[in-house]
Amino acid sequence: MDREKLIVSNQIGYLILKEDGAVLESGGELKNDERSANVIMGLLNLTESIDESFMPNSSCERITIDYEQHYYSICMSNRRIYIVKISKSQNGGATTTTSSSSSNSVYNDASDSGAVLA
Amino acid sequence: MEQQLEKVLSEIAARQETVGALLANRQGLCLGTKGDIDPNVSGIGMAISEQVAKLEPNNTVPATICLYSGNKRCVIQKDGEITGVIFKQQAAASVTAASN
Repeated sequence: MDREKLIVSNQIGYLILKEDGAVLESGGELKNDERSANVIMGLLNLTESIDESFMPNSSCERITIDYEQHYYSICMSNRRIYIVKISKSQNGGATTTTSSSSSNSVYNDASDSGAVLA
Repeated sequence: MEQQLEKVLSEIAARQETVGALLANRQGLCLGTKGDIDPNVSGIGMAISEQVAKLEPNNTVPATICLYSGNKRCVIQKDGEITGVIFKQQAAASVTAASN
């Protein structure tokens, strides 16, 4: 069994892409998942210019995509795009890292918008 | 119908840290805005929600997308025919509190 790279606790899959979208590394549920990589590259191209007056172009430093049971966290570092699929269930994530604060804000956002759009 | 949309937008805009909110239809046309948000954002907001819908097409519950830039966040959620876009900005005091 190959040991998979652990980027965050509660991780269920990860992708590391080059700037052009080529898959460098992958694991877990996202292993060799080029389809998801392409969808996320398309998303990154769209997020480059939302609204110049609110967010300067290409200033977006992190993106989360929040589902009921899991969420994706996307960020760029050292010319690599890191995509991590993270489970929301608490088992296995006993030690909280810096990611916990960000995931909390995601829950807030989800409940905010969920309530108003429902 | 517009009254209901206005009501929903007012509820969103009244929430903490919300700068502006917008609702877009399936064509990416703006149905209404509240607060400080450009109505032209409806097109890109809709495009983003459509793109994310391709990520897990079998998932019946739509995803909530959140874009982070410093103390600002852009939250996008698609619900059926309508896409909501919310701009949020953390106040300076709560930013320092969060980093501690």
